[in-house]
Amino acid sequence: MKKSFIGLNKTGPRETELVEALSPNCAKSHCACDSNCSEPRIIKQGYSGEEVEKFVKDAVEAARREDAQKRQKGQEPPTPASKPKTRRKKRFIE
Amino acid sequence: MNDLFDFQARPQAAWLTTNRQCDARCPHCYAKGTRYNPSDDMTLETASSILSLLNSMDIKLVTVLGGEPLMWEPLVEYNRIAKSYGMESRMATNAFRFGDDDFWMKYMEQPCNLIGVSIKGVGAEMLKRLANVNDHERAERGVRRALDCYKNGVSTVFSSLMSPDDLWGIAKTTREWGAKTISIGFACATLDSHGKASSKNYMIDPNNFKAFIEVYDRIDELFDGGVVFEPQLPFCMFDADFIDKLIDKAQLSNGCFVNSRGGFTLDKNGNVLVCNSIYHEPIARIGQDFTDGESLMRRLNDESVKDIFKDLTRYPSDVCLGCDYKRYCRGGCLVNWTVLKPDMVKPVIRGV
Repeated sequence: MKKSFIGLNKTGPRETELVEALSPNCAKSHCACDSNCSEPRIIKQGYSGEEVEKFVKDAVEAARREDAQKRQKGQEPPTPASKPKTRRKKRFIE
Repeated sequence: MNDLFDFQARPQAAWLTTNRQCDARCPHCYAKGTRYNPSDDMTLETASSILSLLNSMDIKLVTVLGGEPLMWEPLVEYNRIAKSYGMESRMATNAFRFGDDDFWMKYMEQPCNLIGVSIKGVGAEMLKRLANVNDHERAERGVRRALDCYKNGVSTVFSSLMSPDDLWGIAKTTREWGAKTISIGFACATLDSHGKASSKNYMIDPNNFKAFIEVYDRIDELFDGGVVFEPQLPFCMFDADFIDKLIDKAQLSNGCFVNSRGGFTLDKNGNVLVCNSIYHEPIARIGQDFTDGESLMRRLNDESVKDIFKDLTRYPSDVCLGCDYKRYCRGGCLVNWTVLKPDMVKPVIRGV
């Protein structure tokens, strides 16, 4: 048997019917998957781009409010973990 | 008998492999074979040319994949360009980087329209053990932000490294965080950096299916039926009553876009791949096999490319022709057939 180009061990017929796609529940929620779902992602599920923008705006405002509250209470807002920390050079006394 | 598939490509969606870097180290992941190489990042110029090409083909659903696309620096600018074409920008992500405040703010300036959040574990011990993540607070903050913002579902991969209790822990915690649905896929075999079968060590042992099914039923109840199972294996490996129940409840996900030729994946240079896990041999090379949308469609429907898909999507064994599930099952994920053997399958006769 000639193996496929990634060396699959399949031995059944090559001329086949189309696999009938099932419609799983996940397509009814948000989906960014690569499945063969018959509930196609072309049908828009969930939120529109504008709605997401609104979530984003609300979340930014909430984060700013939280920071402002912390400042008022005298606490520093959390240091972002992404910010590279400056390393101080060790000084050795000879 | 139904008509035979013509193997014609009818792409409606595309996936862009924007990078191979990742801030997790899950042993079962296909990205392991890529060695997470930072030099595999797609440039913004390439991404922009791809978006223009996809737009000319009227493909409006574009999903970025990795590695981990949140570590792809041009993401925000990419989203702006995708949206300018009227595309829906989607992303499959672990969401960890959303836990960095500065990054979250920057991302929010131009977010993806939809995201799929892949859960690697919950809690310090599980995240360390399953994904080698040290900062679990950052990771969990990121996932919670994603769920708060997008009000979406989550997915997770059940591997041999994970116990049914771990799976239950993931389901319970993400549900508490607001996940609407949960998709559970079985770990697949992995390929090495040369595209050869590397390991089946992370695939679930059939002796453990019973324990999985028990926890699955509990998760089903927890999510009020909002559960999806992606077996990635031939259906005949499971109890037929379980498979029938899942089909009835719309909880079974079968195959992928490779079976229908309903989409394609592009690598960092814009070459077309069979899928994100099979990245060693492009089926269409940019500048060589195609230069625009028209020539790409010609290439995708070239007899030599159709032949590749005929081979990849063939039935695992001749006995599959007598199986009642043959309409839905083509043996699961292709990559698993680098390690599975055809003599393991058996036809299921349900008298339907």
